[in-house]
Amino acid sequence: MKTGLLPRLGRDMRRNWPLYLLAVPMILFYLIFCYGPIYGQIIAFKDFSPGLGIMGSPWVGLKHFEAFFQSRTCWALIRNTFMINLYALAFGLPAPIIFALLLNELRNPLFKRTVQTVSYMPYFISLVVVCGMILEFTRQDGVVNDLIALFGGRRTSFMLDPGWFRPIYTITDIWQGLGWGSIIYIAAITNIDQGLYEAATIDGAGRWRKMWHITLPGIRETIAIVYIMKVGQMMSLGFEKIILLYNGMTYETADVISSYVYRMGLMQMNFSYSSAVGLLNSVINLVLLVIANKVSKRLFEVGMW
Amino acid sequence: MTKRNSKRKSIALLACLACAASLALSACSTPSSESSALSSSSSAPSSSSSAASQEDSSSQAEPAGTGETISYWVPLHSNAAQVLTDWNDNECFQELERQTGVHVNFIHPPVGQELEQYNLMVASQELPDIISYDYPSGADSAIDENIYRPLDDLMEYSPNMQAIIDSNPEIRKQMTTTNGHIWGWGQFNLPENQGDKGQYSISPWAGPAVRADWLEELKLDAPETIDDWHTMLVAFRDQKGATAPLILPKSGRSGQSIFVSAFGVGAGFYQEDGKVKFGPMEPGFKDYLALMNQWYSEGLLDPDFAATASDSNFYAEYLTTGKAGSITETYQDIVPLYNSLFEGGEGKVAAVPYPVKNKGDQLHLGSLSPIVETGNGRRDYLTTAVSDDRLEAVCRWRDNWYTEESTMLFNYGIEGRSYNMEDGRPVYTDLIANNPDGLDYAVSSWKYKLFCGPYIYNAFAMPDPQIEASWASISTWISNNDRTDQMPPSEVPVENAKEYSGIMTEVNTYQDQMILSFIMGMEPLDNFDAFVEELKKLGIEKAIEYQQKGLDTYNSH
Repeated sequence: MKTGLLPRLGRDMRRNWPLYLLAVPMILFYLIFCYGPIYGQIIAFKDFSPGLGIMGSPWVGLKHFEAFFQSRTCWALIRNTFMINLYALAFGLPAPIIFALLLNELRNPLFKRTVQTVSYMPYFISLVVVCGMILEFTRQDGVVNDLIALFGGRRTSFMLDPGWFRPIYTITDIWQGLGWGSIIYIAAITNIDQGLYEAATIDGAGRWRKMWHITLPGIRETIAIVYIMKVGQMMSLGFEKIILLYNGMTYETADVISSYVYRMGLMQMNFSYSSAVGLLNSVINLVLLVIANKVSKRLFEVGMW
Repeated sequence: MTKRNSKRKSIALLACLACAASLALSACSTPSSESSALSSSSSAPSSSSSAASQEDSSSQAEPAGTGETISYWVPLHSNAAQVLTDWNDNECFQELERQTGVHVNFIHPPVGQELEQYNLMVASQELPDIISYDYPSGADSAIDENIYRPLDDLMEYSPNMQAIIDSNPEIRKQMTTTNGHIWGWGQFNLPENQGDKGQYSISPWAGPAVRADWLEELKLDAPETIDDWHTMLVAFRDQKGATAPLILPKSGRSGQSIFVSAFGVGAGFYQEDGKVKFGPMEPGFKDYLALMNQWYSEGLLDPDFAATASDSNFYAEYLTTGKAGSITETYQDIVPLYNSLFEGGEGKVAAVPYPVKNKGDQLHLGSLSPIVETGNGRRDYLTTAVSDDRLEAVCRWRDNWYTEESTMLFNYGIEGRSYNMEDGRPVYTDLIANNPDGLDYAVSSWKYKLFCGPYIYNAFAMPDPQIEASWASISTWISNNDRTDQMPPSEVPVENAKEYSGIMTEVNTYQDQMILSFIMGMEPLDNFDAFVEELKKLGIEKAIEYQQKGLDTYNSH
């Protein structure tokens, strides 16, 4: 009854060859840029010296992993990476959903489109510029402090206070990604059967009830998938924004694994050590992804696999 | 019903696809940060392949037999970047190419990314012929790891530099690594080029500066002691409305130990009678921190100094707009630049002596230019990428920088264009001295001469007003500071270099954080002893020991 995988694949390929052709560039992209470099990962177990090359450098086993676990910063790095991501998950995940729900309630199409377009804009500003703005606005003589002073508050140097780093990082992240992140939800909302709303209206449901009982369940699957994505990205936080914002005062809350890898590898030339730390990061990342998928299957009955 | 289902499915599928794509992207973004060292090798060969193609084209253009192309990696100074994108736009190098028939393919890393670009280039082993950048763990390590090639057996192709080395034992010492190799080609600050009386030969290039016009207005003398500074800064704050009377570097201390040296210690490693010490763990450093903490709480420092970029454009803005009245550390050639930025000349920045604790104190720590200049862009290294048959050509071309003709070329530019001989003395034309495009000397000299670099550098090769301004700064800074405790250009021994850099990475992160915390009052100064203890735990004593070894070897050469 069942034919082998290969014959089936072959038949499918013949039948749907244009689809396969379309996929070729992406497959090549992943092979070259994502799978190819995995080979270089072996330097995490070697003492890499540029003069000797990847193959020629001596094997050292788990030396670099041990060094990392013994270093003073190890646990702070892991904690910071988790915390910043937890903030992003706790506040960054609901924000675009709420925004999409609110947008959906707007009845004036012109106003709705304008708001939507304006909300995309921050996403297209270069990160360097965004960070420059953040640093400028949060100075003691910056806009934010001017506002606080206007209402009789005390001026604070936000970027020098370790306690403020994570909130600032998260808030600006939400500001930048709010409109962009809501697109997928808006698309999902437009796909909900209008008949359901009509039926609910006839049954006497108000706006809140419709939002709670129709809109939210209607985009449940989308939320689940975005949630898994977010968890999958948790440890692979980009270092760019961190290194543009942190300073000596905020290392204790701001320094994350990727910024550490950047400093150790690209700035200090400890390529092997930073590869080891990066590999460790990827392993944690994978574990988290699997857990998130399990959780999602429980909660939303949707999973990636 | 079925229609709705299928529609819903298709949307879910779409969402899945979009997410799967970003998942895959994010999944590979993790390894990419460390593997970018490897993947970026794909960008490095492109530059060398373009070098190869240029080689082809230039060999056709050049007369037969002179078709050599040399690839040369050198950081572009931020002032130079204002007038050119490639050293081939510099008229000296155009002239040099005319003379030697050798084309140079200059590779400049983006300004501000030099270290990263350098590390990536080295890791990918895509080396040019010559690199003007220090290997982070020292020249000996680079030679051992087969990245740089010492000139030991190639000195016959470098007769001009050989003559310089032979002329002065101090130069020989500084041209030789701990393991006894000739490391490359240097910038020579020969004593005879350092002013009529040799004033520049021990010139400090950095020191403190203040708004001299404010001093005059407030009827204050130039500050000498720390108490004078305090009086002055308070006056700047109260009477001139400065929000940041003193500009302190982002790290909380001057790399040239300005203010720190008043307490008899250095900001980093220094020596006392041949014994290496690490400033931040000495008791004097606690006094420095107490002082800065007091000044910070009195509003004499920029409240956001630790989150503010340390960059001369920013400092210039602060000084010329009246937000700041003094700067802890600036350069002798930047002071004239500040003054050129005042609109209508309504302000004046001038150097003041290194601050001392008691009137008449002598200091022993500050900026110092060794006879063979240190720093990136000042030292050229031959790489192992040069094949044996090209060694002679590359070395001879590079040695050509040290001829009398080239020395004039780099210091003054082209005769009849950037300078004319008057009474046997070169005098700059308006191209440099009074640039028609309004370029300051510090900028125009990157186009019409070579502002600085690994040639026989003449500190007096500047237009007269610049010499005066420079000398005014230097003579002020030199007046109370002999800088004898400064570390010479010694290196940590190769066998300890890796461990040393590991220790210092941790130490630097920790001390950056703690020094700022002490200054900003987040950490009480009573915890200073705990801070020193933690430094010891991180292995600072070992690092000092390795520095000591390097210094001992250096002194014994």
